[in-house]
Amino acid sequence: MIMAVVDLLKNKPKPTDADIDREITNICRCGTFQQVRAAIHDAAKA
Amino acid sequence: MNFVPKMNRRSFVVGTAATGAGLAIGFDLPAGGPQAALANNVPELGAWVVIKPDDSVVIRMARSEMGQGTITGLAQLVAEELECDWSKISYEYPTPGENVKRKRVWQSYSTGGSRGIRESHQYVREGGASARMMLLQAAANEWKVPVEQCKAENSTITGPGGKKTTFGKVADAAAKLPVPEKPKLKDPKDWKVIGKPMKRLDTAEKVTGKQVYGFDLKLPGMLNAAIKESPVFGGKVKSFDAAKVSGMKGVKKVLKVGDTAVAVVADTWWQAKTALDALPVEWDDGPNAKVSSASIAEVLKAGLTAEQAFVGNQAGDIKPALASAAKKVEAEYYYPYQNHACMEPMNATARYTADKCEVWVPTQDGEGSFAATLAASGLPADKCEVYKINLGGGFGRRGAFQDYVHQAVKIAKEMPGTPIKLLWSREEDMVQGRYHPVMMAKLVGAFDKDNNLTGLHVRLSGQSILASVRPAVLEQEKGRDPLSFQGIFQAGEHAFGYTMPNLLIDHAMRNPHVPPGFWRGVNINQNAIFMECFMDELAQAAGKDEVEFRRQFMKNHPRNLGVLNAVAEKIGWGKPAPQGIFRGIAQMKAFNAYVAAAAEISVTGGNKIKVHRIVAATDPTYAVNPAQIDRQVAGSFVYGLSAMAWQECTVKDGRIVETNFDTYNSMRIAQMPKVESIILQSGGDGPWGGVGEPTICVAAPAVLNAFFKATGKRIRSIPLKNHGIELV
Repeated sequence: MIMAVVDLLKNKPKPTDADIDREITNICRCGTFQQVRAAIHDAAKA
Repeated sequence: MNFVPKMNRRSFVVGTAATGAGLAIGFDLPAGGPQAALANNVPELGAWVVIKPDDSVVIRMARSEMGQGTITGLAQLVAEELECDWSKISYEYPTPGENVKRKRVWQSYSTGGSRGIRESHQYVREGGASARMMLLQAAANEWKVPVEQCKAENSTITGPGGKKTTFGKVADAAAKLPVPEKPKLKDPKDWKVIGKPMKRLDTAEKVTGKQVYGFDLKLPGMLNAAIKESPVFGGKVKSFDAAKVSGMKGVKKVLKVGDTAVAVVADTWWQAKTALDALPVEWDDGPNAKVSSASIAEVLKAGLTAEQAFVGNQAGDIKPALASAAKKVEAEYYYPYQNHACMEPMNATARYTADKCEVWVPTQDGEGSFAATLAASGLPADKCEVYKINLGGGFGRRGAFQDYVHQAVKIAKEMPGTPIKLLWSREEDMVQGRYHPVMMAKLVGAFDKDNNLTGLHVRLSGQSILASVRPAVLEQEKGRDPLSFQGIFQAGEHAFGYTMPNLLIDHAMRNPHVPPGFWRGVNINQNAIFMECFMDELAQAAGKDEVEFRRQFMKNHPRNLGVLNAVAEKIGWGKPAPQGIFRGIAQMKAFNAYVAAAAEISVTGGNKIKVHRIVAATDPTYAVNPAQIDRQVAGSFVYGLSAMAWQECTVKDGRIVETNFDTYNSMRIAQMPKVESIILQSGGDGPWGGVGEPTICVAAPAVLNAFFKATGKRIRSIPLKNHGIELV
């Protein structure tokens, strides 16, 4: 998932929620999707 | 002896450390992860705390970290009483062998049943308090002042006349003092660390890829093994033609493991897997080769009306209530088999010699793994050791069941001295599960002529986990499996949250050959859907608001009512929802916590559900780390809603059909609802509730109840994909 996010941010430095929904399709069985989404936006700001 | 293996995506260092008890191998993680071996020359202050001269604090953890955050919560409990500097904390796992040697000083290693914190908070806090008292005494001795005049705070001790020292400076002297027994603990109102959203101790390693999972492990000279067990449960290996694959690249050994499995050992795992796939195997399928989902359903269906059933909850007299009813409402529900589908498939690494058998394993129960190591190796406890590794998901698969440890040790025993890493393929993981039990329910509600509910009968028919996993419990219970009634039981940590005038909840036990297991939440998953969807059905039959209807039966259940009211209020129950949005609600008590959820969904085309928002309330008595609870609640919804939408393990010809995520789907980020978590803390001296599992059970009924509001269609079996309904 981290690798997918790196790729997303390379191609789209300021992704929208819709971009994240479309591009991040990894399965996460522990289900910290809310934090993952927030972290992607944080990383985009950094 | 340290060496650095070839660096992969996740790089790590493996080191060996000598202990007084003999040679042990540990992982020397750069960022301070769990140390498998205890060095003898560290200042140990009781069993739980080590303080080093540089003031660093090592807290021992018996329970396992598998993403649920338990080690951070446990560290907070210890740190609260220890009065140490939080930034100086790291943790280590004492080995199960060490625990046995020290007469189980760290008590239970079992990390399931949401019990990591709720069942160890007392003794780990006492461990922290004892260590603090030893440090204070050591400082007082050095200063020759009464200990009462010394105070500990933030890893610093101060005394009369401006005296000041640090934990690290007095740790050696403190370690020589006796460990105080039964120290007095702080009043919860004085807590400074417990109840705070401390950052997790293990996040950095996970984000940077430094975390070593079981399937990342590399040992010097290690070979890799792939395994295939009889796909029909209860079947055996009849024959296999090793010669056909033994010349394949990298293959070192082709062998039978026990009576039921074949394995290939090779230089790399892919070589082993490729050869295993090419290996001709003849199976003796045994007596279950004709069992199917349909034949299992038939057996369960008959149980719905069977005479004999075990009683789990009873009040008044249900028979006359049903016989004299002016109106009866009936419904049948169904819950399927489900696999845990951990991201990291089952694995274990073993090295066997006649003098020592060592196992490295991601495990929810280090002592269970230790017992499996003893059994499979045939060696005594003093010649066995288990090194725990953090888990890539457990969810109940890696606790009571140690089949992969048995297998790894048996393979290693055939190749003495060579470390063998056994890793299951996803396909093997899917078809050799310990499945969420299958269950049907028939529910009947009786109403009088004024539309008052006068009786409720809930008949469960289906599989008992304990019948196969802990048969001794059934013996004590005269055949009953009390766990089948989780959330609807007569009393205790899974007590029913309603008082009904006439009530009967009973279970016709039907045990198919598919091995059942503890699957996150265990039996609350089906019981919450059965009960909480049917409560909506009853309310609607009575023409009453669903929350108002429930409240009538909750006067004796203030904490159930507390969480129900909390979610009702926050979701805006009773107030108009936004256009196109429909609401559903559910509540339950599980693992001593009280939980409720209220969902807001919309439905397009009659079959596409969008879950916009779930408000969840949980009352675990005390909240040790509220941020971690929020994440457990949200994560439990991902697990529970994935199960509701897509997950069913079907049975054909005695074996499981679904072998990967293409037919056993799991929620993605796009489908994740906004989760708003409410934490209620009733406090007091009563038992604490768990957090990892309870809320999982209320998501699905809340969504299903909302779906009925949206469409008028009552869904009484999951997964939704069987109804042509999808989660979008």
